[in-house]
Amino acid sequence: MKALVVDDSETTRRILVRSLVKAEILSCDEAADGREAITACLNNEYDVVLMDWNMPNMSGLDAVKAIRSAGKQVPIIMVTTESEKARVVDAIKAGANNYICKPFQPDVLAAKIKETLLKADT
Amino acid sequence: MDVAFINPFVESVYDFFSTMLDSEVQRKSLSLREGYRAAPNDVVASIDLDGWIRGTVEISFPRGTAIAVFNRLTGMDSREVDDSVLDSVGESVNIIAGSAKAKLGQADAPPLDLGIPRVFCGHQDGIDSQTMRWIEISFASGLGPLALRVAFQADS
Repeated sequence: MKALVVDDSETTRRILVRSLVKAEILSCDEAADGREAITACLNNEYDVVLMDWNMPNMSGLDAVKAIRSAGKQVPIIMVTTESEKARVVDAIKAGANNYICKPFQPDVLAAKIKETLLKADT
Repeated sequence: MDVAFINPFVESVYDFFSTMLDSEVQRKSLSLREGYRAAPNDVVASIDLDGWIRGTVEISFPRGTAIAVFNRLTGMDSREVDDSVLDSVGESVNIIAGSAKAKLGQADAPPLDLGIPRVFCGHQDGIDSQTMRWIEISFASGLGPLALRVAFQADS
């Protein structure tokens, strides 16, 4: 299993990687903005993507739209401070599979990753 | 500035410390400040909110608190303020302001837009902090003292 973590904060990427390990995903790539995320998704196969929303150069929401427009069906979990209902609806409409708001506990994110992978398998 | 704007930010500081840092935090003093100069020992992260209210939120950590927050968040053992520690302070204000903006939300208004954090050490010339009117709340925590500053104006 391989994941892509997308966040402009190095600190958060480290936290996300720890959550992936708890979800038994030991291999991952990192991206610091939406553009890097699109490039990574077009050139690699991932089992799950953890995507921030507010980033320089290109937002996570625009990256999700672009990844779906390119025909990629990889499960995407938004991990973001954008917690208003309207934002969640926007992300799901754009093609995100799941959503978790910061602040979060790494164990809770790990459970959400497992839940998302199970849904993707069925 | 309406003091009612402040409570969501205080609650978000509590949420951040309990959820991601496994640390208790206690609110101490509240004061009004007409501008300020950051102390040389402080690491300050600032972020803008824009929409039906506009303003700036800052979190200010003495260096010891900044290092302790970074180490707790990442499981690392840093001893100095480096780029990684600065990044963690920026992410702290991002999480606190983002969580607070949802609590501030108005049913008939679109969500507030959150900017990208800026981080600096000590006083920096040209930073608006010196001319803005701030509400400052100081806190004690298991990881050291900290301060939250908020400056807002509502659309008329």
